[in-house]
Amino acid sequence: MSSATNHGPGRVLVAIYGVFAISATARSAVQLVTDFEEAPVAYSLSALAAVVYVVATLALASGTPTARRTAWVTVALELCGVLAVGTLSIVDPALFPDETVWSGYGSGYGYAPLVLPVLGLIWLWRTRPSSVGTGSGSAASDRHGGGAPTNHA
Amino acid sequence: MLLAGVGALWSAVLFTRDQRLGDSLVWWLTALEVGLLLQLVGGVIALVVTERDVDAALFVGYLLTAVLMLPAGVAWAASEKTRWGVGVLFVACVSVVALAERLLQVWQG
Repeated sequence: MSSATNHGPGRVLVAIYGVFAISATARSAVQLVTDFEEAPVAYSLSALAAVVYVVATLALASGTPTARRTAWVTVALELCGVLAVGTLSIVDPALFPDETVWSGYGSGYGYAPLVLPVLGLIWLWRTRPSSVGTGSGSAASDRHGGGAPTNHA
Repeated sequence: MLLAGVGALWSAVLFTRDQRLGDSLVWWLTALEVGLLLQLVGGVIALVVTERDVDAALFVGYLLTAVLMLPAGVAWAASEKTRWGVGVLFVACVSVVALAERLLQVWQG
């Protein structure tokens, strides 16, 4: 089961993702309901971030091949998001009168939003299915990259 | 409220040292959960009684999330038999601490 994203360290990763999914969703819900007009850009991004976290959490927790692809996409999107929004929020603070999860590279959350996708990508890479079809039992000992990459991200 | 936060922090330290889920941890978590339930009840009462300008929806939201955090953590950790199961509980406890801190912030306005 070394190729599963939801066991071992992945268990903890999913848990952290879950916490962020909940907090991002809750924050976004409050922002959208209470005062969307105040900072439409920031709040729309909050909502997007929330969706990304929720999907990434579910994908990592599920661990099927399809979910793995979804996880690659969402975690990569998350990394792009935190880098883009982090940079924008510093270059042009006027865009973000209120904080989002990704503002200042996630400084409001101890930079976890920046570290998390990196860990997620590393974890997805480490647990990637080894060469398809040959049915080798010991996927854990197999470090060499070798032939065709099997993932799409 | 602060007590629960300190308790969670202390348990978090305990968890990082302990390698697997044992009875003592389960009991400690149960005690912590009871504390969180009391926090929920006490928090709601305090909210009704107080004359402070506290964001009620936000405050109760945090109170409820704090109550749900440990059961969710235990459920997710239960099927993981390695030491990473305890890691999940560590995350849950740290989250409870974060929630307690946010509760205080919301309370103080």
